[in-house]
Amino acid sequence: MKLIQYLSYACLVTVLVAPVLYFSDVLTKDVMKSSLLAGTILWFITATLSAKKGE
Amino acid sequence: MNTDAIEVPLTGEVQEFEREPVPASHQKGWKSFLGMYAGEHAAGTEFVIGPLFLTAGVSAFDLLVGLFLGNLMAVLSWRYLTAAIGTDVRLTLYYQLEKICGRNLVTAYNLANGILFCFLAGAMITVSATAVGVPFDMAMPKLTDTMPSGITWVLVVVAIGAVISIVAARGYDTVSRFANIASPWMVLVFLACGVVALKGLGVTSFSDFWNIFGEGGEPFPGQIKYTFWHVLMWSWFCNAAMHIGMSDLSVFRYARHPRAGWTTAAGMYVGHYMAWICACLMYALYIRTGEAQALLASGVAPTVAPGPLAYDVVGIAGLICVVVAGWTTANPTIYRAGLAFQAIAPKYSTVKVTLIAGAIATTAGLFPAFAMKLLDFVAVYGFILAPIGAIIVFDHYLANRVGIIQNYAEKVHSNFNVSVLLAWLASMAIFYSISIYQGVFLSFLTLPAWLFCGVLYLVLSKLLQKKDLTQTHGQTFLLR
Repeated sequence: MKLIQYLSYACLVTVLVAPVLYFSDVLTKDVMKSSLLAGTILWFITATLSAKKGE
Repeated sequence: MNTDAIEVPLTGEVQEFEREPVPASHQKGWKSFLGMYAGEHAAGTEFVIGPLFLTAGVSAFDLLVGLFLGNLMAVLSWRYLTAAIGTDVRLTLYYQLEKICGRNLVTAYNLANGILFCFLAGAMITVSATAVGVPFDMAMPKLTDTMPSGITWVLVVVAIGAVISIVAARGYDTVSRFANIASPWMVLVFLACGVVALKGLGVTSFSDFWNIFGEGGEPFPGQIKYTFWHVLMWSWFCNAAMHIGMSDLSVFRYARHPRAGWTTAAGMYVGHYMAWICACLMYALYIRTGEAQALLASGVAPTVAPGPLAYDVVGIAGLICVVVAGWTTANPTIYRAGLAFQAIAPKYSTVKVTLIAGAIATTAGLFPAFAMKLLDFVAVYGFILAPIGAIIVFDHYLANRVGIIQNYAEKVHSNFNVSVLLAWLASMAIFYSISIYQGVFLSFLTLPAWLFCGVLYLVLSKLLQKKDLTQTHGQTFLLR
């Protein structure tokens, strides 16, 4: 339960950090876009699971 | 643009106390309102509103300072009017209104509310369609388009509208829960769009950022020029129905203290500041492309299509965000429109009225004008519904001082308070005519119309209440 929650937070952090890293020339645009997509998909999975467990 | 805070059940708990004050045991602290407002104002329409400011030729100062102050005024309106009265009377807007103007007039308000909700949901369907249409290489509607742009557009809008309507009718709670999950992610994707757009625009310092808008420019073809005052007044009154229009009485009746009204700042500065500016930056990036410059050179306004804009900047995650943002906000809007209609025709089931509302919204979504003219439509939306809030505010604070009976309809068992109807219609007719015939920006007239409506209500009540009482009731009402 805790793990899923931490994972969901990590996904949000990915969505936040990837564009900043792209802005700082650390990531390429393609990698940034892929990171955002991965973070998005994982966020919806983990947040849904987390919410269901919470219920 | 918020629609969630309006008058209808978000959770099982809100369904309670519809005709009684919320008891102390069910009141909530400010934290309960913070997340709700922060999430609900990051909606699909934010993707359109930001770019539309740019099409109106705003300068950096007008946009950044005008939006800041306009949102501040909105927060103050929520805090000192809506939250103050909400925590005082602790009733829903509808019930409070029924006490003042009677059941039949609430029905008229419901009708206006329901129709406007449908059009707003239509704009959200349009926004989602621009994202769903990207894989199909669909022709996007132009800024000046009013009619559907082709058969693919019609099919995509009808498909989205059908899904949203059926889900709103059958699975409202599921989407509501999904919207709660999506909300923090959506806010971050808005931010991501802005950050990536800044990179594309070559911004490395605050002065670079400021110079994106600079001193402003000529509005795009078919648009009007927005000054500082346009931005300030528009952003103040785009949610006029909710704050000075008192729709959010239904929300703040649960607040322990009117200070909970400050939490609306989260919605304003996340959704109506950060998200609008980020969406504006995406469009600023697009209009530097050869395609947009060619359109501008030929006197055509470049398309404002949130789907392709977000896709270009952050890829598929952006497309998902546009669809989810449009869907999760259109869903409760259609549901609420259905409930508003159901109040007029109670014999129809919730499923049936929601599907009817969905059909109207989908039809509206076919016509891009509602989304492309969203600044105008939202101004009209606030202008029509806000004066009703003036009736509540003036009745609450001034009825006793001017010697009229507070909550008149309830006390004389009337279903129809003619003073309210006349004040509402006169304020709309007079100030809308001024806007049309004198060419005055409608948001400049929202506050005058609101004040006029309140004052006229007091004057008419002073004249008509006495007559009513002596002619029909023969009772004496003690004025506190």
